Amino acid sequence: MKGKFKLFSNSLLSKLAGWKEDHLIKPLKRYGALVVKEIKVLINDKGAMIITYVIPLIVVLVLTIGSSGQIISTDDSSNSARINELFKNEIPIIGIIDYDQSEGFPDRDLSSDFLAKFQEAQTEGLCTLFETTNQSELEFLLGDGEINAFIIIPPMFEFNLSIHLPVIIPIVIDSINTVNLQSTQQIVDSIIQDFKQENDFTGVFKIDKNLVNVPDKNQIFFAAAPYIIPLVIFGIGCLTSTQSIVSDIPKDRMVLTPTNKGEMMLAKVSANILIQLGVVIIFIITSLFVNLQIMSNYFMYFIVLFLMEINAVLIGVAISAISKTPLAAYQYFIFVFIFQIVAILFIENPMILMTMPLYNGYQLLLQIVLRGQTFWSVRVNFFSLAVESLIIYFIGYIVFKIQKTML
Amino acid sequence: MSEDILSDTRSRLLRITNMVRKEVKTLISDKTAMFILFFIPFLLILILGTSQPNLEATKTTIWIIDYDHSERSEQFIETMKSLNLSLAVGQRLTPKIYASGEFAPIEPDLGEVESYGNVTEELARRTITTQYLDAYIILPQGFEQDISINGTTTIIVYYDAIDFTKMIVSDMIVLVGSSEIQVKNMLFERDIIYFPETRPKNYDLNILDLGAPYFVPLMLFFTMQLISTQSIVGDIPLRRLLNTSLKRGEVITGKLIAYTIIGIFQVLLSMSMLSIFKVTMHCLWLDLFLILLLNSIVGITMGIFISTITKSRLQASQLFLLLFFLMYINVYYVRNIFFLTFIPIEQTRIVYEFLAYRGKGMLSLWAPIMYMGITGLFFYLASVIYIKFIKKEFI
Repeated sequence: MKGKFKLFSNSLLSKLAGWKEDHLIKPLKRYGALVVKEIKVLINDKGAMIITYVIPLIVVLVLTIGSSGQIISTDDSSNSARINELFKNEIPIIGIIDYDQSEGFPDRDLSSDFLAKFQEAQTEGLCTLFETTNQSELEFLLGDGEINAFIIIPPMFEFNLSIHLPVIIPIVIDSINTVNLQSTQQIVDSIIQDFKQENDFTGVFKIDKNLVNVPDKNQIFFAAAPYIIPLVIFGIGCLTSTQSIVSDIPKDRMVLTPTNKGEMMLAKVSANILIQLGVVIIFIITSLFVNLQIMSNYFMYFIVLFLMEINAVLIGVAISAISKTPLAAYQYFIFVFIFQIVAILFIENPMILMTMPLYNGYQLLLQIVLRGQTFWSVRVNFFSLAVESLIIYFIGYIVFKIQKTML
Repeated sequence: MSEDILSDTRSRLLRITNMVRKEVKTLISDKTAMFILFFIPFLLILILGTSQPNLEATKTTIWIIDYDHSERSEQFIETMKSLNLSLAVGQRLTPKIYASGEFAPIEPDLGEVESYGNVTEELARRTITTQYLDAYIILPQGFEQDISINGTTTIIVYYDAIDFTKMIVSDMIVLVGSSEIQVKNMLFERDIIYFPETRPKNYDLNILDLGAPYFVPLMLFFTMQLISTQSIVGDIPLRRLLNTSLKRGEVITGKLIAYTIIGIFQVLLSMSMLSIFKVTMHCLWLDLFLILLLNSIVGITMGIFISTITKSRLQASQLFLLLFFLMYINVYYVRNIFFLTFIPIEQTRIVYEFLAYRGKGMLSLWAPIMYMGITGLFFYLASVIYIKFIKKEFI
């Protein structure tokens, strides 16, 4: 009697086994086979694979070796060192007039020394100097875009300083050329600060400046990383995935197999994630190689990049699912990509910004990786990234499911 | 002899015209392509035309740690709190200043929506690494005494240098604040003070005006470039066409003209939108149209070149991305002058600024226009040479 006691009857057990086989093991096997097939398809396009992995390498190389990498110097000793390296190639043309005829320091002509400081900067290749005695000419040239700024050394310059009074120097900068505006301001500021330090003309408040969180090396990469890394990960991940369904011609024959559209989409997502993982790993390794200063750890760095990658692939596959032609898929990608690039620079509305993977990726990378904050502090960006990925993916799935392809 | 040349030219023109007609038809029949090509400029210009500038980067938080607790130090804090600053483009700066003893926002712990901490040097040292603090100023003990005895005193400022823009803004706030305190309190000592004035004053410009030289060329260039990256590699019937009298070089010319025709309408739409939002144009409409069209044409030639040298659609778009990143990084970060010369979006920006804002004529801007022409011509010729002599699929 004991041996005959069973919790479930034989028929129920066999039904359970059958259900398990049909609903778990077989779909998993199909899924596994599909993932392998997708990876093979992706790897077969060797040119595309090479470019995929070369892009992050080139980007890091250009931002590190391609530039000297120094944005901010911690050394205050020379003005050339303090010039923002980001603008080192923007040599501004600066007009200057010396109106000072006053006396005050017996052994020197202070306004000439001040002028000499700019001439020295010109010799060092930091600026091009345009010396004149006609202010109207400078005003005209500034309006015409021929010079980027002009400086007036006012009358009584030397005398006021000699009697311990401050002097105000009029500086006019061209606001149309916004690229040169920053570099001009930086260079003028650097030269004047240098002159002030050398002569101890530091005013009532001697400001002792200290920079925190600034790396010694590869500052351009450090500054660009929160923008560029999400841009590259999203660009490559999303673009590659946009072709996964729409360019898959044999998928229509899948109708003859038990494979359903959900499994197909999931397999494509998984395969693309696995392939794009290489991009994430390349970023991690190159960051280690160039000593990117991070305040968290490399595991956290990996998690953040991995999240961005999943988001990019999910959006890409969804685009692919809703597109009718490969070209249409590319166009949807352009729309999403270019819209974000432009909008992130100009739009302030947090609700709009939060919908953009690039913005959320920027926040995650900056706050968690570079600043060492917790996920909790940027939970809004994290949830926004996760929720939008899932919503877009499911919309893509629904559209794909009701499409007539594969019937 | 001359009749032969004439007839050859005529048949060549006929073939190219037919190619252009076929290509334009194909492009127009792709409704999504048309929608995206024209919807992107429409939507972006509409959003930017109705948006406020992104001032997130200029919203700074500064703490002042006062160890002196004197009348002078309190004056310093009060002046810093009442600062009224504006940026070069006219927007007001409103820094958040918190002094010792006040509660300032800090990084919240797990489960907390927001958190506040009492402003101290210890907390500032921990918070400066986070997004909640951009700079802190330490007013040392003897602050007031130093000023009254020596006429000068030292203040220590720590800046968070991760966010470069905020660091510059914080630095400016400290500089302007300390100058204002001197003026308000008649504290004078040898100093060279300067507040850069910008001209022309851009107070009336909207966000579209400010961003147009940057984003309009970028948007037109990359949309046309990406669309044209698929022109050869995605043209399946092209192989059959090449069995006819159509020459390979004519394919490139035909594609270039066809995409340019689409580009003309895209530029026209963008410019009409800019005009609707009354974006500054102190120049002939035609001048700006021509320069934006040249920008699109160079984008198309680069796109066709990519399409010619690649073997699959995916490769073509990947190569597009690579080029895009290189251009983007050079324009916005590295700024290598040599490469900038041959990056059309940079040259178009320069020409756009001179035409639309300074009212200059096209002739005075021959150099950037020539660079763009050279770039376009280079990629056009490279495409012709590649498709004629190197591309194996068609040989």
